[in-house]
Amino acid sequence: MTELISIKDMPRELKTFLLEELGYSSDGIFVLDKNQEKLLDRYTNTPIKIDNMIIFPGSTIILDNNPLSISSFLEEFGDVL
Amino acid sequence: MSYDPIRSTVAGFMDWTEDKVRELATKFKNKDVAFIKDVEIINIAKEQRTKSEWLLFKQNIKDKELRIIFQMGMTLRRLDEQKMQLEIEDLKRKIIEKYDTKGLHMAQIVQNGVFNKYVGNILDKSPTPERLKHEIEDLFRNIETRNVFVRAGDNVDTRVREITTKVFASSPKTFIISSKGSANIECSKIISEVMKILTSYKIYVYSSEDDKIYFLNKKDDKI
Repeated sequence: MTELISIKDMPRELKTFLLEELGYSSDGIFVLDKNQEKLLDRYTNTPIKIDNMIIFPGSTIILDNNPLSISSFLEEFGDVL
Repeated sequence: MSYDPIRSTVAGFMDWTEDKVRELATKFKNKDVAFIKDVEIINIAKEQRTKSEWLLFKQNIKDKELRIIFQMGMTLRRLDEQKMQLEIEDLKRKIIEKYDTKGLHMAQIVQNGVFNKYVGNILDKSPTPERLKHEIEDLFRNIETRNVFVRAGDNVDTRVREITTKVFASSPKTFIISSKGSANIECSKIISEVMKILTSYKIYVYSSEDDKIYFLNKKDDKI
């Protein structure tokens, strides 16, 4: 089972550092993709705020932290968490 | 503390450093960790996927969209139990943005328990598995013409006209009328008037302290 790490209290500059380690970045508010475009939640199609992001393994899926996106992820990828 | 296989536990760190983040990023690439904000939302999502009503639904319904909407209905109910009003409103908004108001209405029949009672109403007729599947899918696909929710202050005549028009238009095997709390008075008046008009339907009532659910079943229905 995947270990869950809470980044709720992680300083924002280290969240940005984490994103950069994973090939993404941030403008300070939103998560940016490799082309410096705002990354959209794959299920709600809305820009993801760095303070509300969750990052699931597999092919590095960054989502907005909400029940619709999380349940959609579990439905697509199975009960991996 | 006992181990709960459903609820996830979460690790957090007080002393975040670049080295720690780099180490976790490496673990992430090996698929050993996930980064989350709020474990409670994840646990709520996971818990819904262990419940009997979900297992029954997913066994019968393969449509991905309906399955997500169903889980959102269960999640709304759970948030309601925990009195998480802000989260409820936010989730309702997200459901409407993705699935329109029809999607929200589907989720709400799960949230308010109508779906479970509906399955009971169908099972009373000893359906084949195929028929049960069809009836569940039919309810969700045609939610706007199979179901009304009566609210306090609704005009009785207007709702009676609305309901009878819907029933005459699609002649469903089952039509559902439900209400809650102070709306139960209006609802019983509406039911009384509706049943004078819909003579080819018989009525079954599920009643709890606060909720009323009326199933109008076609008299000649052979499941």
